[in-house]
Order: sequence, then C-alpha cells, then structure tokens
Amino acid sequence: MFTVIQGIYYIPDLGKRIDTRTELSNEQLLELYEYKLFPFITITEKAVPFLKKQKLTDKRIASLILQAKTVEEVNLLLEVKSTKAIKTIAETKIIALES
Amino acid sequence: MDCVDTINTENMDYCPDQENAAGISPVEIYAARVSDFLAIIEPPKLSVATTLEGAATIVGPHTFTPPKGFFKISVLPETGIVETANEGEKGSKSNRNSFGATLPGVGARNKGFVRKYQNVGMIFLVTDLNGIIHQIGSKVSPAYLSEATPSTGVKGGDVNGMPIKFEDVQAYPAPVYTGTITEFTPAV
Repeated sequence: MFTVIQGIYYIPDLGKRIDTRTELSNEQLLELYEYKLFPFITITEKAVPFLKKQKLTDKRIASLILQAKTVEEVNLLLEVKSTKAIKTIAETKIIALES
Repeated sequence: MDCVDTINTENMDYCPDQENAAGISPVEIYAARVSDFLAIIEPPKLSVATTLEGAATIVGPHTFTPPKGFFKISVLPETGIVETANEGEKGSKSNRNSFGATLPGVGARNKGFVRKYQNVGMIFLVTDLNGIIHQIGSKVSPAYLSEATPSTGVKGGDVNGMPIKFEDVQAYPAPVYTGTITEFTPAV
C-alpha cells in the first residue's frame, strides 16, 4: 500500500523517531506520506481504496499532488479524488515532472 | 556585471514575549562522516533565496545509503555550544563555525571516538534549547576535530570528561537544518 525506505528516522517538526523496519499502521504511514519533509515514502495502487476511505479534503489531496515525485503517483492521487481544481493542479504538476 | 538580489527587504523586528533560551541540548546531537552520505543538501544560493530565513536554511533531507546514517552523541549538560566567528578581510569574509561540548568521562569509547574521527570530515546537527537544529560542516567544507583535551580532573568537584570541538569554514554562518534526520541502522 505504502512503500517506505527502511530505516530509522527522526522528524524534528513532528518530534517523532520512527523505525520503518517495524510495522506501522496505515494511519501512521498516511501521516508520514503527508509530511512534506519526509520524502522516503510513496504509494502503490493498493493505497487508493484506503485513501478514498479517509475522505481527504481537496486541500490535502492538492498538497500530496504537489509533493508527488512521479507522474504515476499523481495519477494514483487523481484516482482518489479529482475535482476540477485538483485536476488543474495535477496537470501543472505532471508538466513540471515531465519537463 | 549584473548583480542579482532575490531576497526581499524585510524588517528585523522581534517580539519581547518570545522565548530565547541559551544553550544546546545535551542529548539531541547527531554526527556522520561526509563519506557516508548519498546526498548532502546545501543552503540555497544567495541568488536563489527569497527571504533572509531561506538563505540560512537547509530544508533537506540529507540522504544515506542504508544502513549508514547519523549517530547520536550525548554530552555533559551545559557544556555544549555552537558558535560562529565571522573572519577575514572586507570583500572576502568567511565564517568559522564550531560545535564544542564535553563527552562524559575519559573512557575507552571516548578515546576510540577521537582516534577514529580525528582526521575525518564530519557533519554535525546540533539542537539548541529553542529546538533549532544547527549544522556544522558541509559537503565542500566538512567539520574537523580541532580540540580534544580529555581530563580526569584533579579533585572532587572537577569535571571528568573530554572536551571536544569540531570546526568548519563556510561562506555562511552555521545554517539551520529543518529536514528529516536519518539515523544509522544497527546490525542485528
């Protein structure tokens, strides 16, 4: 669902020391995924139903799209939610990733 | 030559009710050899930064090839300091940044630390009591050991410890690091 680079991380802003070698809950992984200064995590197709269930706001989805690292990731996030505003942000992000 | 100034002019005002404690944390100190990093992030160029804060901030994160990473150092409370000395002639100023602290005791592990790292280029992340993380050392100018004076002390009340100091020289004062800190993964 989430793919994390294995390791031990200290995240100063969150005040958390996280060992990704141990099993983390989906909620913990979502928190990491949304934290823009933690680039060691990405999503797979299996994350889409989970993210849909979280009923993320447009703002949260837009933030995730803006910090996405690949076009595939942007497309997965569009499967979670795709309002007109989100689609516009995604298009801009895809252009930036492809250039 | 066209000079570029991307940093917006801003006021340097402060709120008197802000906390501003002196000192560093004796437990939140991270160190790593420059050779262990996969990527070391630099502060933005002065021609790119748009704020004063941005000009002195490394957003990070620095990355390593697992299992490498930062290791933690604990020091005696109220012995640590991060300092910057601006030096040089007008027109070619530089900054000598340093981290100094006293390791508790003069045991074999501390002596081994000095022996192993005394000639090695390092990067330190040192948290001050306000929670700000200061970076000493960089990719192009690592921090090197400049002082290690272990002492058992003479009498009761003296410090039994190993004062150490690491210094770098940069174009800028020790920058603030805001990224995720990757710790090394111990062998099982």
